[in-house]
Amino acid sequence: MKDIFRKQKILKAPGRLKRHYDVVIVGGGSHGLATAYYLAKHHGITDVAILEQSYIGSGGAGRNTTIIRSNYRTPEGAAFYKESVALYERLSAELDFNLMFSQHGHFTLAHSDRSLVVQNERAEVNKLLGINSRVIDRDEVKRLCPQIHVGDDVTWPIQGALYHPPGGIIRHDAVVWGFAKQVCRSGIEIHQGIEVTGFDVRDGRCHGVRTTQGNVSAGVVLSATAGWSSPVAKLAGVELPITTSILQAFVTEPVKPFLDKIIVSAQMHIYVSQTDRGEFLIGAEVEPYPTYSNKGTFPFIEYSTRHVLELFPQLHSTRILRHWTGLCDMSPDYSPIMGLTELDGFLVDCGWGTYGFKAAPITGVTLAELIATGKTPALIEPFKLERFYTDTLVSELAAAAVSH
Amino acid sequence: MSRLEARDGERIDRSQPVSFTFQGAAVEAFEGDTIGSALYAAGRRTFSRSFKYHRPRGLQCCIGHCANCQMNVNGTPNVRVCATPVSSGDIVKGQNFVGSLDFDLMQATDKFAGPFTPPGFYYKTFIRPRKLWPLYEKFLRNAAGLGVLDRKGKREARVDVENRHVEVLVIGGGRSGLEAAITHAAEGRQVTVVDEGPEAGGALLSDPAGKGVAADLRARAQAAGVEVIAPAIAIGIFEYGFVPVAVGNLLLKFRAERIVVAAGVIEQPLVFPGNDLIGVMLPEAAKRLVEWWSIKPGERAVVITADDRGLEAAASLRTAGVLVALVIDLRVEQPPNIEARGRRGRLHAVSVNGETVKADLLVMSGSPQPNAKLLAQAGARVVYDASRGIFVPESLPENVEVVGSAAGDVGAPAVPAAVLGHQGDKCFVCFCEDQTPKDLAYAIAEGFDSIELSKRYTTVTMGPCQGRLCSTNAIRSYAKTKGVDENTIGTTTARPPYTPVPMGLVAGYPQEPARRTSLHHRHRDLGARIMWTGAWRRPHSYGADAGVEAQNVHEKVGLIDVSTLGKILVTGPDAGAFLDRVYPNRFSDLKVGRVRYGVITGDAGRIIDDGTVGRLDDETFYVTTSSTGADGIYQWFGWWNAVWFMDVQFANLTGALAAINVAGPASRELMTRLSDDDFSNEAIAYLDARAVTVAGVPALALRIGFVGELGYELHLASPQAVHVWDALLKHGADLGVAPFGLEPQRILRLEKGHVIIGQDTDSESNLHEAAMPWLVKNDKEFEWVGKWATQQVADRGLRNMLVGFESPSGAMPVEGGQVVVAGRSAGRITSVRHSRELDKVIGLAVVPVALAVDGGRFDVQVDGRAVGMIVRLGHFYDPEGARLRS
Amino acid sequence: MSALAFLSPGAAHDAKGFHPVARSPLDRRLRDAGASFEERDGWLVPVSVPGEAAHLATVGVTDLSHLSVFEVRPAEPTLELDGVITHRLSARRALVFCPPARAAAVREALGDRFVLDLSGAFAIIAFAGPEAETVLRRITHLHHLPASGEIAHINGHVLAPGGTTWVVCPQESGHYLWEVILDRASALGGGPVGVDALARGGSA
Repeated sequence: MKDIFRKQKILKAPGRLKRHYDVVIVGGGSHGLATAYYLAKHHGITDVAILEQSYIGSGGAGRNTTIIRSNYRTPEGAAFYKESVALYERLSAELDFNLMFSQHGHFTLAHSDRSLVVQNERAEVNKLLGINSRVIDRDEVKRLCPQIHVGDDVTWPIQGALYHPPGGIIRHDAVVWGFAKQVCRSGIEIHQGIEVTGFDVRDGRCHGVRTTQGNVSAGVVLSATAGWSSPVAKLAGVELPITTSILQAFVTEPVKPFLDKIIVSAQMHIYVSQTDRGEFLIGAEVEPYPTYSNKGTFPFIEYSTRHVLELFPQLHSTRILRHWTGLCDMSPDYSPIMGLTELDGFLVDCGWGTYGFKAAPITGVTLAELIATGKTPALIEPFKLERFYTDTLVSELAAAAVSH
Repeated sequence: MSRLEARDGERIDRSQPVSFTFQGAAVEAFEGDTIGSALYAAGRRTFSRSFKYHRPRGLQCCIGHCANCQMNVNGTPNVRVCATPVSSGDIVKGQNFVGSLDFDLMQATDKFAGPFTPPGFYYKTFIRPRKLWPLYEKFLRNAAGLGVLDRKGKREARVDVENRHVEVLVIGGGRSGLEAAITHAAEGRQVTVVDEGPEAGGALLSDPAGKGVAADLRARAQAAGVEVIAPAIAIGIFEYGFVPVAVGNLLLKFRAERIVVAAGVIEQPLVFPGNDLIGVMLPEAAKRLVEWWSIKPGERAVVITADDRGLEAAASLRTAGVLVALVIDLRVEQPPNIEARGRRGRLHAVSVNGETVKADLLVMSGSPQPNAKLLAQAGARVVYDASRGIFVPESLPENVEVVGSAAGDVGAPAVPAAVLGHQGDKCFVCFCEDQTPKDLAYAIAEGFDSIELSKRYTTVTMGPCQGRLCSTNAIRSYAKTKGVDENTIGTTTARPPYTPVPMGLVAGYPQEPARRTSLHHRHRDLGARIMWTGAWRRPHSYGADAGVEAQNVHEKVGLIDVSTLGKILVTGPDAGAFLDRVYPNRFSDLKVGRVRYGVITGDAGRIIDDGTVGRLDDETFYVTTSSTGADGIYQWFGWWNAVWFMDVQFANLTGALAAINVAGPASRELMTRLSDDDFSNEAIAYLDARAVTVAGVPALALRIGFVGELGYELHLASPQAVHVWDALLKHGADLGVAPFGLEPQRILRLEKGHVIIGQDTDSESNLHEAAMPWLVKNDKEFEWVGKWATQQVADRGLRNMLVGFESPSGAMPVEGGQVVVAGRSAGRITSVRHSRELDKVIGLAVVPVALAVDGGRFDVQVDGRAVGMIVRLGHFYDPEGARLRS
Repeated sequence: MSALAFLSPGAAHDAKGFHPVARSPLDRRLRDAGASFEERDGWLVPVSVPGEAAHLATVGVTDLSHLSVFEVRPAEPTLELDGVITHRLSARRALVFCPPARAAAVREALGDRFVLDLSGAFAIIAFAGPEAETVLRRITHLHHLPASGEIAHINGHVLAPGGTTWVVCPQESGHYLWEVILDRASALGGGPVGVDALARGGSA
């Protein structure tokens, strides 16, 4: 408790950029920071530099809708996210930083027979892996979330839902800062405001990076640059099957607690939760065209509010406060791409689409292991880049036809 | 009562009294008052409690920028009453307090919590024990938020959305905006001006001399044909000149060729101890109280200003009989110590360099900042001009210009460093979040030392005002703490909306597009339960038991409306060759008058859709697709032919034609009652396509067998469908004709092992593993779409297989249920039903290829335990197809 | 193309004691509004609706789905015939509208271009009156008429023959669009009218 009276140096400014590190991580978001954290914690590797072009967490980590869950459709995906949720549950204590992880349950509403089939499949896959998910009917949806409107006087009446009690929301900035705090403490350097402009590639190997502050050689380079993954990889001569689109979200003005659950509608492609600041946080599906623009569009606002009000008509006079966008690197099968590339010494962590933030801890653990041992951990084997050449896709998209 | 005698140019109409209640007690007002002005005139000074410390707050801006006057009006929380016109019968209440607005128990946080709640304190607390976190969390959540939502609330007022097109849209109807509008109109352009005030005029409206100028400008604008809409608030400037504007309950969506932003300035607070006390306000607030609503804001005033606006306010106050005891013009002198002192939150004295002046009113003004938020959000850059102490917009988007004070034309240079006295605790940079320069310095000391990080950590600029009143002071405070120049820091990203806008206004109408067949109302008349299939409304079934409906098809005759099927005409000399390229199987050798099943694959060899192809003549093919695939396949054909340029044309006939499937052993008899054509098995054999006339209506009859019985799928003009449907029902009554819906259809097709694309296949399915290898014709002259990828599947070896199965125990797995091998997922159930005809549970499943042998066994999870299923290859019902071909 | 005779609603005829009459996709909507119907040229047409005079004072909305519609390729040359309206979709395609009684003559005048009888494919909602422009602005951004594009979240065409506004959309969406247009119209005091009332009150 005494800590709150004392100023702490949570983020330490690094010294000058050195000319060599064992590991260079491009990207100071939740994944880059988590990987650095576990490199130090699990493997004692601290000769690491994180190179972030803006400020830490300025990309997806600072823009996402903060949903943590593991109710995925594929056995490979569900098992992976399950580990992440377990790590998140212990992370506040481990990082000594309150991440404000609020686990009150996640609902994926089904509005058609077809959708119920999809939710059933997810529940069945989850149950086999020991993940707490089940399909519930409309009455139970109303019982668990009394604020939601379950009448028939809407376009798509609710027929049931996939209910996932461990699902929750978290303070995204806190995750970034919590990891950063421990990363700094371990002696790893976080350099902000530095841009990687190229890679030193010779003889089929990546030997380091070129930056706006000079060249840095490295034993291993990891690109954890989310929406910028394909341009960055291209600088290294590596092609990725990624297209980048934007995802939009908005918050409302804060009101006293009204909703403590996370509600997703698979039909209407929207999700809504209420942060612990009291703001409603609403998001939808990626825009159906590739772009790096950071400008939001008004149709998104119209579309998402129209659908939120079908579920929560009480919000009709709640005001939109702020509307932003973020980049999503979409892979062909809506599963991530992690690990080795055909370029030795160059690893990627990308294809995270709209589901990267929830995977930060387990990504850190597995990539740290890969970097430290040179071997791909079994948990992330299915997500190798190679799978697009061997036709072993891990399709989260499949029947649902919507990212989730 | 602070209401003054009637004054020239006042905006209230004393002949129109308005009455409303505040906290249950009646308040008298006039037409032209806002709720805030009426409350102030009636003596109210505490309007809200601040977010963190629950400090009492009073009117500060009177223009809808700050958060000080937020109250609950008619059930809606967080309403800025200073800018909300009164309406008779309004029910107004305060919010965010425990106890009352005037005696809030939560104010204890102000006295005691300060040192315990530095920025980010919650990140350092409540970490352990983990078990108690939910309890701590509940406490934190309850302390957050301002207003309370009405849990039973719903939309009451009608909202209309209207599209507008205009050559020039002027945002801001003050002097510069009106002048720009008049100029553009004089050059022959069509101009609309939108202004957020009760009428156009902007700052002129609160200036005694300016009111006449405003009236004159309004008259000239009207004479020039300019449309002026007020009150109206632009929500944002989006790409291609798109500007949504809120006008009460009307949302106007403007598309403008040119946009002129004349949004004026935002007055800025000064930072000194006590700057949030009740009685401390910005110049426009003081002016409006006097000039708009004829209210005497206080008895004794002090004015501390960095620009002319404060001096103008002083002049107004004097005309209202307020004693202006002290005026400090910061352009002339900059006293190092300024402090506002209060009692129970209300200003009672101002101390300047140790000398104390009694005052109940303090007008403060830092350099007003150009209101560039709309522009910044549209992509303009905002750059700091150190000589004038303001942030100026530049690099405007194409076709957007800025005029007047919003462009930085703020008159004489203002005092740059108008942030004073960082001593003392209650010296606020951010009023919404109760943050002081000390808090910012704290964040920087903890390592959050870029402007973005420090803002996120302290939450400065993240409150209701969204940076309007705090962004500049935060940047100045940050610059001072770090010892850097303001112009090196940058600003945080401006985002829409320009001002908070209710979701109900932008949500528009709740009507969603729905597609209905021309038989839709017949289904309703017959009591069908209607369901969604994509955008279509379709009958699920007509009675309580879908099994009974399915049996009727086996035993007598049923009708199903399949008008939703996609129907595409493919015609031209290359039609057959074209189809050979988009389908894995062959159609160029299809005889005229015959129909064949086909499945379409994409270039990655994944199954996209299925349907039938009938040949009507040498160059005319009639393609059907699934109901949800029609638009996609029509585009698919067009897209590929844009690559191949074959001599073929396409027409999407999906809506033009209805389709009724007449199926069952009595279907032939029924058809002969309605038609003079020959329906014998010789004349129309299985898989024939024939032109017939049914009940006087020409139709294309396709003899296909999705549901496994003798049947005819009649394709005919949509407007004639009701007539034919009625005729079939009437003349088949004694044959036992009955309609059947999608659910019985699913049972029937499952008995035949027929696949439904999208149900039994997903986005990864391919022809080999979906058990349709016979469709793969690799001997065609040209490469068909997906050929190479499909071959790869065969080459790499099959991994799983779609098979039929039955449940020997009768236990019914769910669709989506997992096939389990060694405790792990190895496949799934794609379809399952109980078949009354066969008296067993049957289905389709994806299983590992090693298990895909007739009689093979596999386990499925049912209610947590593994239950055995038996693989059955081939059709469950009538495997030889005798009934189909009869 | 005789292979496509089944496409034309107008090809239906009396046979075997049956008397087929074509119905608009909006048939039920007009019935629910109390419309009186007449059989004209093989179609059931809503000729009058109670309250139509008052509706026309702001905006009257009617159903013209019984009109014959042909898709022609290429779009040129345009037919110059009385009562025939052509809407050019592109250089390659055009829609030609005419009263069903003139359909045969129009078909012949079109010669041997590629012609499809799509009379069953569309719902045609027509409205007129002082508030017609407001209604149009409240369902679509299209304003330089005739135009094709998004109308209340679906794709369609807006034409402006005479003094009326025609909204042409796929017939399966007609129901939905009727509901939308009537919602806007009735908020302004308008409502459904018969085809005769619109012909009198609407066109130039």
